[in-house]
Amino acid sequence: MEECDDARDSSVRSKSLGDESTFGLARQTIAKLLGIGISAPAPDTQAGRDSFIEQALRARLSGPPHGLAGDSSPPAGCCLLDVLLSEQSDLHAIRAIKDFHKGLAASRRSEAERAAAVAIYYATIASALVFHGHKITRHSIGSLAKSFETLVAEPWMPAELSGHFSRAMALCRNQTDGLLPHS
Amino acid sequence: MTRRDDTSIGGSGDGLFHTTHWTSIVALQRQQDPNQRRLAMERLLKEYWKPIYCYLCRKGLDRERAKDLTQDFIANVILGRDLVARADRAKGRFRAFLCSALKRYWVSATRSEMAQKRLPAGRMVAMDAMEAPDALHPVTDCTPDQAFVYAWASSLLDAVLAAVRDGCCRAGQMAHWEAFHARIVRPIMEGTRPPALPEVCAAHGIKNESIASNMIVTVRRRFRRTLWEHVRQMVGSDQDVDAEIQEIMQILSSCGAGA
Repeated sequence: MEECDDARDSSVRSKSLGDESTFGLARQTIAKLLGIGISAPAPDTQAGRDSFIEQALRARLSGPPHGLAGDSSPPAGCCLLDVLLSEQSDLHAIRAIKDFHKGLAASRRSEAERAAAVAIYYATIASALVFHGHKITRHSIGSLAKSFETLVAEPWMPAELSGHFSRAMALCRNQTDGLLPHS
Repeated sequence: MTRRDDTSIGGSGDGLFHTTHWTSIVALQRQQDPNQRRLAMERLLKEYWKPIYCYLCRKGLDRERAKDLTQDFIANVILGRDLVARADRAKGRFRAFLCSALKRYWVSATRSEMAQKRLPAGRMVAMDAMEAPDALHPVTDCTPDQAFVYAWASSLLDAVLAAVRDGCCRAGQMAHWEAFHARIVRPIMEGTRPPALPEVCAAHGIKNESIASNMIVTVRRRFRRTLWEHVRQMVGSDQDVDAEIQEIMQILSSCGAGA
């Protein structure tokens, strides 16, 4: 705290906020400043874009799994990531989460939200493959292997999901379409 | 964890304004100790006199008279009539609630000239910020209501920016704040082009553009959260926060546009 007080009195404050007040600025300027807090900022760089996607994805993974109804609901306190990475997760629940995020990915949302939804969509497919030996999509095994490979390489992919996709990718490469039941 | 849209920060929509600091001020005011009462008055004046003052100026009062009535309104209406305790969601957002109370006060003051009789003896707090000749320039073509909103938004922004900066400082992220301010805030305030990221890196000793970009995103998120929390104190539910900000922005945009 002491450092903060020092900083407040130093040139840092005069440079970055100092005795500035927004009072007296044009009305449109005030509105724009407020807009910092409500508009989704356009990332300046690829790194910024990646950061947004990672944030959106982590937010979804750490929240409750959406798309589930009644009996499919996981235990209280269970987050989406827990469901995706648990071999105990019910296949119906996994499919419901997949369908929900498929819809989410197709809706008109931000790029980050869409990318996060697509990642979760594929994560459910990976869960069904890895933990249940079921292919819950019409995508071919070869196509899935490529998609998993792409997702693993994404810089915004959290390590937990990266490992999950790697397992699914390895599984796909050892299989052919006919060996996995499609449901 | 990143705040999700459906997260209930600041409590559930229980119908009451989460005016924590207001109620603490009122509690201070109710004490018998004159020093405590004076402290309550000073805190209220410091934080909220600008919207009230701007409204009264746009009603045609000269600056000295507006300053007097601002203090009178706070002393005799907000504190004297326990205004905060009577505020609830049924009466709308707190900003609108306060503005309505001010309108009624204005009618009463002009009709009965009571204000003249109730004026506090001497000003309790200096209002130096309004001494600049062009201080009210942005609201010269606004209605009193719009002027109130302008000053309200300005005070809100000042509080949010200060809180974000202090938060960055406490978190050891002053470089984050500097980058954010240089790249986002200052260009908006000064109407200039944002500096390129390499320029921001060089000015603030940041290793590369990727890091700078992430630092700016981090502070932007903090700004958003802080703004949300500040506005949450003045509205009845979580759901009203974005609507309140949007409405303020719309009013600011409509000022002087025949409104």
